[in-house]
Amino acid sequence: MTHPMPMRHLLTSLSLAGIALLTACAPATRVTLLPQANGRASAVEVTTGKGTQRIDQPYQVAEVGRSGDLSQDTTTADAVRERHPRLLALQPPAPERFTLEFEPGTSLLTPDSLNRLETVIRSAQSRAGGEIVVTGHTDRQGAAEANDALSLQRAQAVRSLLIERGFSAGLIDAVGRGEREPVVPTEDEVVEPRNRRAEVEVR
Amino acid sequence: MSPFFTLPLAAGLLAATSLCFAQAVVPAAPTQTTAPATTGTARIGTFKQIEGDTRMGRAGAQRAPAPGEGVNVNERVSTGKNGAATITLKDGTVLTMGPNTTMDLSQFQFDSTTQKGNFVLDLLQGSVRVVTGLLARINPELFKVNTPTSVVGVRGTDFIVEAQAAQ
Repeated sequence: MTHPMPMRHLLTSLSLAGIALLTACAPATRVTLLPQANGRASAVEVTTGKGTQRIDQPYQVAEVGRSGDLSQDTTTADAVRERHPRLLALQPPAPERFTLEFEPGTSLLTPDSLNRLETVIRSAQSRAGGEIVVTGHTDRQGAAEANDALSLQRAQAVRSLLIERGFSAGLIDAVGRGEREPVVPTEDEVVEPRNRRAEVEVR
Repeated sequence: MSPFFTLPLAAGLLAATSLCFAQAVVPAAPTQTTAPATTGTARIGTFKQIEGDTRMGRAGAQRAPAPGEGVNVNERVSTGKNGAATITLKDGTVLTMGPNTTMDLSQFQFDSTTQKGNFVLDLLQGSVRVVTGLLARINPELFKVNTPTSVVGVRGTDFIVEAQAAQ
């Protein structure tokens, strides 16, 4: 059955208006919380002139309208995969970590650690835009500031060895963390050779 | 055209427009850029995977980056409809841009010894996935993603932000 002309026009124009309404009201901002790789709890807070929306469960969504109105929704892993295939596919591989040790009381690597440098470089070269971050650490003997300097020297010594072996200088960072991150916690001023080390992250 | 047609259409469009655009908030003024406190290289991050149409720089001075190339503070990065790219920042934060995306790395300071600093990403349009690194762990209140309509703050996180371009 067909509607009389005016009625049909009315329906057409109403549906057109409906489409205009839907398009205009797509959220201006949408934030989706994903599960953390380590499984720990996390949260995001989205703030506008009208308030704050907190989401703290994986796949919760905070939506912001053009006028700053906030609302909450829920999505699923499948829906995120469909909506954002590139954002999920393009993740760089997890960083690879190496620990290098020094001869006692020096910035010279042990022979074993020296031999591992080639492995570090090969790992970095196998990645798109691969970088190496060398972080030096000390024990708690001596002043904290002096240990910051010493740990940076150790990291820079390793960086120089990597550059000598042909890795691009611009893609190696040397970082000194001083005595802040011991593998073996001790009281201050305690000599602990296991804490004198360089940690290498390839990412 | 019949008034039966034009009248409801005009009314409908007007309603849609007033409902969604008339009271739109004024987008926040672009964030002021501060120079990084650390000395040495201005590089704050590195391009990893790059796909399709991906550009760095502002209109008129754009070029295609290569994997391993550095990004500086206040850099603009954009992707076209086939583009996507991943950038790792100095603190280990991983930013993945989806297609049709434009973002500014407006502020970034990171002291690698103390792991303190701050980060402001302005997402002008499109989608970005953020997997936070050391900065958000140590200074979560100083790690922000701005869109034209909101500010996104984090508590140690992996999340996606999408934004429509400001009107």
